[in-house]
Amino acid sequence: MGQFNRRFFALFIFFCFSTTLVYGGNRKEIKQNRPPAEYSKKSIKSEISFGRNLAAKLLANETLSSQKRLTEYVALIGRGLAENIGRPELNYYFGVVQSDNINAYALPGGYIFITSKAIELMKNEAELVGVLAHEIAHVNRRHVLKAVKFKSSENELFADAEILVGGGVFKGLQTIDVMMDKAFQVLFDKGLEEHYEFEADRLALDLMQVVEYNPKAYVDYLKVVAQNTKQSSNSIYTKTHPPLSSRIRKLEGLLKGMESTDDGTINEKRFKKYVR
Amino acid sequence: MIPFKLSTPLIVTCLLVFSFAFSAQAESMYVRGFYAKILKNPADKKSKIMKVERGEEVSVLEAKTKWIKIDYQGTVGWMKAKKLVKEAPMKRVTLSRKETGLVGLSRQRFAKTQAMTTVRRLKADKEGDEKNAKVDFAALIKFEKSAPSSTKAIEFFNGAI
Repeated sequence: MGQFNRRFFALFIFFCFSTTLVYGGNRKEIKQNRPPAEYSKKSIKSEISFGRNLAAKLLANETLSSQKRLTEYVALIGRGLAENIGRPELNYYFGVVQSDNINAYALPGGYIFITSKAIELMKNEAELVGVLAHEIAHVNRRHVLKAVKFKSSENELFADAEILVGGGVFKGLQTIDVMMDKAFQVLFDKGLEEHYEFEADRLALDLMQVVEYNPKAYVDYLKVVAQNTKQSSNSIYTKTHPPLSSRIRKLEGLLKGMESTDDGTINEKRFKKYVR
Repeated sequence: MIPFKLSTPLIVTCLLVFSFAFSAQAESMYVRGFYAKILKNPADKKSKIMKVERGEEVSVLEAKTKWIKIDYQGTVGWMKAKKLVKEAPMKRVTLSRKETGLVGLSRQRFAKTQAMTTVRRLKADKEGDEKNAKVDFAALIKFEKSAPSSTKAIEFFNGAI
């Protein structure tokens, strides 16, 4: 009798254990697709506020493109894309900066700018979507905020920035001053750390698949940028980004692991209608 | 010691209760993007059952690397894993007028701080400091106002898909 009980007990334990394992395994797979953890409303407001200040600084130093049709198109594609793959709590804004440099900037809070030269090198809408998805990924993952952090934890980081929203003491103002300087340096001089760029590249491919654009187009575009920046090692793009050859190599590796890279929208026709 | 005749139904009941509790705790996920398609068979585009809109909640029945079997209001099928997220989408966060005012206030404070910073850096490159200190909130507001509405942008973007 006792032997039967022990057998059933062992069977029961085995059932529980195996179920937990299977369930746990599934959870792990699901977890891989999770977006970053959410933050408090107050922190998000701080982030928007910080981004607005930076955008105001950028607009004081750069000129927006006067090509109305082009800027409207980029704003429509950008916001449409962000509504799809951006953080739902943010309003994203997209602008075209008149510049001979090939670059794009992702400011905290959803303020994204791309240079006219960067667009000039594009052949289709998928390439534009790829670049904007890369910038949206920077915003989604709060890369610039992380790059200018003073302390290790994100809560502490936002505790500093919250002074922008709530008013504050001189210490806080000094902090903001330093943060703004640092952020501007990151955006226009030093660039983000390599691992942030690689992460944004990887996410761009992922996000392009979500909106059903061809991810290969993004890699093709980076190859064109590589050709165009080869001659000028002092270009801002070269200064603010890791070597394109290593980025392209990594992205091609990721493309190989994808189900199908020939599928997806390219939309050359619409792009050419708006970009000349 | 529980006699065998009693212990068997007890264990079976326990197993049933456990299985029920397990199935009742089916994980919820939410649709990202404008919509996600429910397919009868994974990766078979022709087997589309229906479209589910952004933010809708689905119950996860089975998860593979690229596909997740879901139950959406009684409809069972497969969705692309990339189209689902774990967290319910947050509501839009915007700065209130008061807070935008405070941004303005912090701008004034920022300008003061910049002035102090400039004093601190007297020996530094003056031109660079002046460039860094400039902010154009009027241009920013104009830029924000020129942005298309989300509805218009979604409609335009959808035109390509």
